[in-house]
Amino acid sequence: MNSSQLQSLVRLLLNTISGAIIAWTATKSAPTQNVGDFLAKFITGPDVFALALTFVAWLWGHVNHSTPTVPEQPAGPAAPISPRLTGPLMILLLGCGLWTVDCGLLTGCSSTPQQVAYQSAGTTIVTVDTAMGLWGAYVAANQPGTNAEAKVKFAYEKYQTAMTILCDAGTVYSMTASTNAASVLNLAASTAAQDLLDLENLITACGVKLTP
Amino acid sequence: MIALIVSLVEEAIKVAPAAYADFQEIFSKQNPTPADWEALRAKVLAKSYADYVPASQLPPG
Repeated sequence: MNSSQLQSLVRLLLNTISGAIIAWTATKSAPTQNVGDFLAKFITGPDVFALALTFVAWLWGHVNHSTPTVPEQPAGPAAPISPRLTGPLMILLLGCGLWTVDCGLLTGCSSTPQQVAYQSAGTTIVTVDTAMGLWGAYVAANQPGTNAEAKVKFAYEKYQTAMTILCDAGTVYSMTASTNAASVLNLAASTAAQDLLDLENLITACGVKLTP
Repeated sequence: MIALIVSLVEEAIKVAPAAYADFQEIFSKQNPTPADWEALRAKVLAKSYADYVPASQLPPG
């Protein structure tokens, strides 16, 4: 196991633990009647710990992927890629985080977990669409090599698989609304979030500048 | 945190106006149905790597 695999394992572990805690909380907690009750329960509940774990996982991933890990061919002139991806990628990360937050923080107490998951997933799809479009432009301008391309292609297809599983879980939840379906939905969201982070880190490591 | 998210969404819409319609559709769903999830699933699978990277040097397939 190399260091990159170890970092991924740590992040996956953190995300899985946080997802499991939230799933457990969702099945144990009673519905709240107003924003005050919700916030009081949220602040004192284990969700705060789970949310903190998720952010630690993100931070871990970014710190450990700040150095390019993909051996690159000598690059030509800098790609004319604008830094406009920064905002969408931040939305992507925050959107993933919202998967792990109980309903109410963003869209009100009347929101269901699947509504929050649906909105986060939809936002993520739009964001990844933008990211992959910029990657296509980067490849056309810089020819980063088949090794780098193969890795991004694999990461993108892994993301697609995770998202289809998430959508399937959402379909089941929308039909049953059972606690088991909620747990599966949370787990699928956690896995998809991890694959999205891997894709973003890989694109960055391959040379696409995402920050100004 | 909410203010930060709102500002970032505004930035995304500003740099990619085409995304506005998508965001509007996504956030208008109050209670996603199985059909909504299926539509999302289809959107995920709509584009392959080759569609995004027409200049790819990878062999097709």
